[in-house]
Amino acid sequence: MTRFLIVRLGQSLLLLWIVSIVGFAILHLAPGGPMSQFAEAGNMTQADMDRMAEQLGLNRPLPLQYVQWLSNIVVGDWGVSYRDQQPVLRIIFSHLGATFELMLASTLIAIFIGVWVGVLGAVWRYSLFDSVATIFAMVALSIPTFWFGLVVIWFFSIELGWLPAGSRMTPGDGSFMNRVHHLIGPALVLALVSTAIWSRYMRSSMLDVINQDYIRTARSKGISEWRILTRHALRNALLPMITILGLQLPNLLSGALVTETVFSWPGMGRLFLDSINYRDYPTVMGILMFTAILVLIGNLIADILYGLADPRIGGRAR
Amino acid sequence: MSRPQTQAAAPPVLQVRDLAITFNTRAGPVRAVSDVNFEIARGETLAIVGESGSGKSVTSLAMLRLLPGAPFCDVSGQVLLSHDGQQTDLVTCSTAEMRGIRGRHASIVFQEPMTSLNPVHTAGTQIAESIRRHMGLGQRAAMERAIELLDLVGIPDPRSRAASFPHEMSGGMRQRVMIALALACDPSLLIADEPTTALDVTIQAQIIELMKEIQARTDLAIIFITHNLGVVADVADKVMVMYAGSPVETAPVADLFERPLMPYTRGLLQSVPRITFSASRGQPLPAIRGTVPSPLALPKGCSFGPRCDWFLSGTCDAGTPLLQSVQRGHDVRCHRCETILQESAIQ
Ligand SMILES: Nc1ncnc2c1ncn2[C@@H]1O[C@H](COP(=O)(O)OP(=O)(O)OP(=O)(O)O)[C@@H](O)[C@H]1O
Ligand code: SF4
Ligand SMILES: [Mg+2]
Repeated sequence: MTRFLIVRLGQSLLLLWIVSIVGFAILHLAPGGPMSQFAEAGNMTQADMDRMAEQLGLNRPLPLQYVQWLSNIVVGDWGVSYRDQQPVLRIIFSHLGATFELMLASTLIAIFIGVWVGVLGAVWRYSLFDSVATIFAMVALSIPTFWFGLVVIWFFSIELGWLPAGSRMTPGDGSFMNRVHHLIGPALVLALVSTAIWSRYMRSSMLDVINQDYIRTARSKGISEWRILTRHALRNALLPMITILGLQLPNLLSGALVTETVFSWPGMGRLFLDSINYRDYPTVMGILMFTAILVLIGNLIADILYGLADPRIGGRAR
Repeated sequence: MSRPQTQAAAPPVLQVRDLAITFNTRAGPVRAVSDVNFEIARGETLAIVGESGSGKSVTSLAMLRLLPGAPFCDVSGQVLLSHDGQQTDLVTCSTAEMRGIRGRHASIVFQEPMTSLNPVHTAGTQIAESIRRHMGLGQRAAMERAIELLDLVGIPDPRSRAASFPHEMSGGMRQRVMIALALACDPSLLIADEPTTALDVTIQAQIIELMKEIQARTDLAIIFITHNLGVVADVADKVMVMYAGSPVETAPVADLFERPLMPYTRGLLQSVPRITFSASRGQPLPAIRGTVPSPLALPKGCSFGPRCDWFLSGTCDAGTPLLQSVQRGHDVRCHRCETILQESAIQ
């Protein structure tokens, strides 16, 4: 286990390093830059701007800038936002709650619906239910998130008036019910793709399990089909899903980016887009590294959980 | 294992009548098994032998209705099981009745011990589940009974083994767990589908010894499916030889070994290595030439025809031979069995 963790840590650091180089390069090589933002604001002289660029180190060669950034972040200095002079980490943490809330809600929806659709699709293979579920999953996977978000807003907010059109709560309210009411729309939109993915993986995992010999053994004991499903099949079929949970994280994060933008949800995704528009290099790099770390930790946790849940791997499940 | 015919009055534990199984495949219906008829009394062992694909497993699964359901597979005939002083037809009884019988009155042990136990539950839990289902015991009492059963099937340190997961046990031990599971509710019929094929020879012998012991103690009726004719001689009272989905010869074990009549059975017996038969040392074992026909393309007349040394054109390919009784309890499906019987009497 220790060996496994050390290897994983090494791999993760390497990966983070690559992500940082690629991210840094793309960000800095893209046309425009922070200085053009300041120029647009129009209240700075050329001399002011030169001094500013000098201060921020923006006129130095790119590799040097990178090394500077890297050596700072290694010792825990994530930098200061160009936009409002706040430390990057503080800005990220102030947006994290909203994103987690959204991701958690949509994951719960996706797991609940996806697992059952997948299980029933496998049990009633080739039935009408299975065919309809398959078509729905394919459609869901091919609908662009932003488009679906706009449709939900148009239909449920504008036409029916059932749901608020955006933001996390009504200003001045913030009660639990008010937050839930605001969460429904974006959570459903973000859950769409994951639900489809969960149902497909669950269906194939379940199909694999219900053809196993031990299911036949369970049946030969005279126990009910429901008990075979819940006690013998479901647990085995869910095991590989734990890994899917980890693998879904990047998907979920990029989905959150779009969903948050469409629903003006004050989370990390929207912060990321805003920061890119503003060429707020420290914040963009900060969010990039932060989400990369999040994904790596998520996958590590998924692998450890898998080991705990499957008696064949590592220790005993109990 | 033969015993005096004291229970002649009691109905046999199991009577199978005209059992036939058809799979509805994409290529059309395939009749995998037909004309299966046999009965088996308390304490008796029936061995079913035959080449791979002859329909042994399908027959045993059909008896407990463990084959895929209606649109994929049709089963006809009767499988009459005696239990609690009544007979139930396992082909037509309700699902609820079937569930009350599986694991309680009739159990099955499969060929593959490595995959037949659920990897996420302990051995004890899997045995206790059956006991709780049928005997109405609570969790604790059922687990105690499971531990007793593990002890009965010769697993050392049964209490701690009950808490083991299948992957922590060897193949032989898993098969013992499967046997404990099958015997958990004291059934009257045990179907063992090649229970030892996946195990090495010494373990095989131990498992067979165990089954004989348990049978002697409980008067269990056993259907023992195997490829191994040595095992048949050891355990069986009666033998049913299957070929291409149908029984071709049924006889008491001694009869079958002394006077096999169907050419296929003779071929099977000749392909068994015999240490005492020194004349054939260094010579290859005579194998039956050719291969088993596909159930999709059975030959005209006798399905063994193309591989048979006794094949007589005009007779053997004229029609499917019927199972006929040549002696008490000795049935053969062969057009020429009378001729063969006479010749073997001369020898
Ligand atoms: N689900 C199925 N669909 C179609 N055909 C099947 C199915 N299951 C079994 N069969 C066919 O039934 C026939 C009998 O198979 P079975 O498994 O009973 O053979 P067996 O005598 O047990 O052989 P072995 O000694 O290899 O275990 C084979 O021809 C097989 O192809
Ligand atoms: S019927 Fe003819 S072909 Fe078939 S086993 Fe008998 S002798 Fe051989
Ligand atoms: Mg078989």
